[in-house]
Amino acid sequence: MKKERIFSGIKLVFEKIFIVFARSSEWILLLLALIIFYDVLMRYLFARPTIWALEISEYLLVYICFAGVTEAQRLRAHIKMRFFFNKFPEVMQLYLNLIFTLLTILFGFIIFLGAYDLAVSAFRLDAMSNTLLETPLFIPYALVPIGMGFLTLQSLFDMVESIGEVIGFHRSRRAR
Amino acid sequence: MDPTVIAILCIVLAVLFIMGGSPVFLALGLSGMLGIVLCSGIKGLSVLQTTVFGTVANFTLVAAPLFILMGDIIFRSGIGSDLYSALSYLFRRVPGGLAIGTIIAMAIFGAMCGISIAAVASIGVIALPEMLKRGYNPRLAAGAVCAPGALSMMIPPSLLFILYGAVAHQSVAKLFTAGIMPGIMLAGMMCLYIVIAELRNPSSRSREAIVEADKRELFKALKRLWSPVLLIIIVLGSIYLGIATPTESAAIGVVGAYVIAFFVYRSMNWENLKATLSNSARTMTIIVIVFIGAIVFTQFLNIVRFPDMFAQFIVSLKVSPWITMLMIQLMLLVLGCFIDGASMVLVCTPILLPTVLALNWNPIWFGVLMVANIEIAVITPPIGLNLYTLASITKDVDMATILRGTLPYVILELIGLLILILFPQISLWLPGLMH
Repeated sequence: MKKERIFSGIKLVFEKIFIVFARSSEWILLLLALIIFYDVLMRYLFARPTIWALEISEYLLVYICFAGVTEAQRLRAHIKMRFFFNKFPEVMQLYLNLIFTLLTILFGFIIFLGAYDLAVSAFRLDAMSNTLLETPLFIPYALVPIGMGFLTLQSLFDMVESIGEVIGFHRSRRAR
Repeated sequence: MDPTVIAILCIVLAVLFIMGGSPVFLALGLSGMLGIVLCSGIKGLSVLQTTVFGTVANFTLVAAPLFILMGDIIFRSGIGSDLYSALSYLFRRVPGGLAIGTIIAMAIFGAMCGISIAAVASIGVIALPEMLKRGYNPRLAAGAVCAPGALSMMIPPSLLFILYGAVAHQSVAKLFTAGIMPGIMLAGMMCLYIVIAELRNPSSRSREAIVEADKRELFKALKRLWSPVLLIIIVLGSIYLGIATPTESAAIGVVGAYVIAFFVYRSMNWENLKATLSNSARTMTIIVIVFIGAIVFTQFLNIVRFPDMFAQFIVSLKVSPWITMLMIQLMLLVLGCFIDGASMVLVCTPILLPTVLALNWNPIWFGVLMVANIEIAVITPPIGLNLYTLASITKDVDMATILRGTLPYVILELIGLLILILFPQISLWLPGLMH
């Protein structure tokens, strides 16, 4: 019982972090539109284009995409084809969900490891973007491991839930 | 293990995963990773370090969330209702005028919004009850609401063209321009079908009495409609004339759409503002993660040189290019029945592009054909998003009626696809005039 409460507590804290991260990406989207609009105004009306809008907009896109990926996983909103899946028996659906969750952990972790290495290398080597802005590259690079790390964590929570569903199914069948 | 065997094994695995209900990004990403490991060992995965970041940090792709956002603002603004009021009044004397008005309203809405199901949801919810009230055959009314929504994917701005452009390294501006004529042609074919169907069975025509309320609605609609029409002229015109890139035009579109929704339509409030941002950001995330999965899969396919092998195999068959084209389109058609449009573009483009180039086909034209194919998919079961959207917004017609009503449009779209294959100039004429 105590273990369950600790797990729920940890899950709740992380869910809050994931939600805040995802909400921030929504406002970053508005910022992205405004930045490019500002650049358009400066370029076409005042003939003074910015040197930063293009580069920053690419980084903001990375933020939007990786900040929202965990929330999409939590809400089970990722694109899937459920035509055949819905025709499978319930027990098979439960096991498939568990397998897919385990594989999502694997996928997220592999991408996390690679992206983490890249961000750390960029930090150690003091790598800068090859532009006038000279952005320290570890900052945008770090968005990928953060997003994929959170996705892996969310998938771990989903896995615990999926295992619970499978156990619950077998218990109820035995009781019947 | 032989690279060809590994390639086939991983493709089969990805298809099995997708069919089994796995998230598409996972099916592609993991199959790709497995393929890379089988070919180059675990160290081969290091190639993904820079791939993921490089895939997403792409200025062409920045246009995608902005156009999605612009579409969502327009969807929530009430512009669809005005378009329907104005066009149904304008076509009141034509047989099947309400249905024709609906089709053209959806085509124009597609140029503003670009989301197929949004057109069905925003215009269909008003148009369908109105047509049924005036004695239209439920099948004809359901088809006229469901099928033209698919035009949003062909008529620019189109998300699918942005994704195709990003994967195939083609100009998004040219792809947008290439979609204009096919979009108009398909809308024209749909209108012609309505006229013929109504002339053969004129039962509904006599009941189309125009009441005074329609005129009032028309004036009210026209007073507001100029602003979104002007916006779309600016957005698409600036792309066509080469004044602005699609991404810059999208940003102008977002700001313009918010201004219209806030000050002209007064339909935007704090809740709606948050909803537009939340919905668009999530849609983009969902698409980009599939993009990442597809890029991992493509990396693997490139390692085993599968797209080149496939192209060589097709060329070595020595069959007529037309037969090859028909076979490819048939394959896309079947695939479209099972996976969504964005995933289809992201998965099939890297595999088919070398074949397209080997056979000297224009990649812009091929992009248009692919989108025309996906248009058929969204009105064909079992995926058929538009069918389910219409079924979810109305209780006046059941799913069987929707399916029967949409079937003639599936045939129309197939004829349209065949015309686009036979006459590439329909797609390539306007891009050829671009500066």
